[in-house]
Amino acid sequence: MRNNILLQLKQIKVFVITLILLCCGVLFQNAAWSETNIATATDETDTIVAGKIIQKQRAQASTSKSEQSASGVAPQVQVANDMADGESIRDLPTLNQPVIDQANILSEAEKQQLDQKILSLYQQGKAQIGIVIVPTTGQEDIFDYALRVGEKWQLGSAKRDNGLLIAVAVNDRRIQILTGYGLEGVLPDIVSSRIIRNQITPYFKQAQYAQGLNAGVDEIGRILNLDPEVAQQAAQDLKERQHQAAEEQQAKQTTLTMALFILVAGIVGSFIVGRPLSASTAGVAAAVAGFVNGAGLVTSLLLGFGIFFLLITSIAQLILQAILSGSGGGGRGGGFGGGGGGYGGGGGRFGGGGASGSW
Amino acid sequence: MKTLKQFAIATTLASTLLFSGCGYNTLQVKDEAVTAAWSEVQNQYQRRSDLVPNLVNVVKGYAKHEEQVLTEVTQARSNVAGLKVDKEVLEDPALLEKYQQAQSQLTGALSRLIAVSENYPDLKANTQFQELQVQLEGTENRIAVARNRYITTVQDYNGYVRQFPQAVTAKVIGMHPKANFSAEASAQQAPKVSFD
Repeated sequence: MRNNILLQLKQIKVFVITLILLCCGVLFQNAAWSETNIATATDETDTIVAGKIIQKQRAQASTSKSEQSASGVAPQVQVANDMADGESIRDLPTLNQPVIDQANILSEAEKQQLDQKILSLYQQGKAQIGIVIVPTTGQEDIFDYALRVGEKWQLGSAKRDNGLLIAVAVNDRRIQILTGYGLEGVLPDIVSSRIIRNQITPYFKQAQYAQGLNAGVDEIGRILNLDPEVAQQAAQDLKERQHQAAEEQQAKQTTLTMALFILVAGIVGSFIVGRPLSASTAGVAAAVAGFVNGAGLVTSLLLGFGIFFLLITSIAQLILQAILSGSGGGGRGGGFGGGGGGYGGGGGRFGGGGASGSW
Repeated sequence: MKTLKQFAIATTLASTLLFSGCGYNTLQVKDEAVTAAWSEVQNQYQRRSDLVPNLVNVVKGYAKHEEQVLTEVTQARSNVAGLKVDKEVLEDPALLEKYQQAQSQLTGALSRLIAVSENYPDLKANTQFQELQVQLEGTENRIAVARNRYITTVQDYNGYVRQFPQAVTAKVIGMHPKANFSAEASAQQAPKVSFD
């Protein structure tokens, strides 16, 4: 009898300590969250700065290269045709990155440089640019091909239609810039045509495709930066995006905090009402909490199931005991799988604006 | 009073069900889509017409002798301007045919004008002419896109209107299948090869 009371006392003691420790844990975790936030932010600026330096070096390297090749005979590249005989219309590529090079005329580094430029314009909310390079468009006119690609990719946001597609057919020596409805004002056909004539094709004539595209994208970025209306819209977009990100962050934090409390409550509950009932209640509660906080359906369900699993198998208790006994360990489980940043269209529409050119 | 209220509710409910059941609502939506697509077509054709005077003026400055082509373009443009373009055109295939003919006449005249201008190096080097050419190309592209969208929208509408039970509803409220574009006469000719 005395033993029994002692045991109960010990259990209660253990619980009080657990609770205190977990509360500390939650606080600590919040601090850790904000710390990681700062860390990523500075990392980002670091990479941007690094990227700029690299770009500068590359630009220098490329100018020296272009001087060399300009002095020699301009090379003319003919790319292997990848279309089957009798096939008059190309299949459309899927959009997963800003530059799709089916003719393989860009090196990995050149592609990355272009990607970076386009992504920075996209992140500033100016425009969503896509580049597709093919050996030939077959029987189809480059405009028709570009329009089909544009309609499939839906570059730009549905609200602003600020997509822009650059299609290049290397063997046909044709290029088409296609502007979305929202960009027809800033980049009228004449301007697109000038960019092709002055910035892009001079390089293309010397088979310097990467330089040409870089110059073109730079010029497009410059023009977009000049326009006050675009700047205003971009700022608004950016604000919305930041607001959304902050909300998500908030949701994650509250969900995590709530999940921890529910876990503790579940452990306490499992001693009172039995493990299965407590575990299932805590699981459902966690899922609901996640959903209410806006953590997304899948995440909340995973969270609920995870807590249920932890409680029903008494892993949670083991972890707690391990922490209490001072042997350390007890890894932080889970985390919210951040989606890989794919490059996808946002529903922008094209009406045939833009210009074409040849070299 | 109570029965009146009940009757009113029942009528509203019944008519809602009836209207959505017989496709009345969808008919309205699709009809509106056709009108919108038609406005876009007209809009782009109008854009082209607005370009013509500038183009003619620039070409006149360099190629005075090409009077025939220039008059042809001006004539075609004034034909287009005199056309009826309101919604009635959509209901009448003959009217649409006439509209299309006038527009394709202008297309032909403009392409001849551009072809003739190839003979005048000074004209080709003129920045204003180059820019007008770019605008013309962009406008022709936009026309093609708008026409394509009109064609698919009308296909969708016509397919719906002819089906049962919407066909009955359409007849009662006086909606008919809409006229659609046919392939341009020039599209049936083989393209000319040119080396420039």
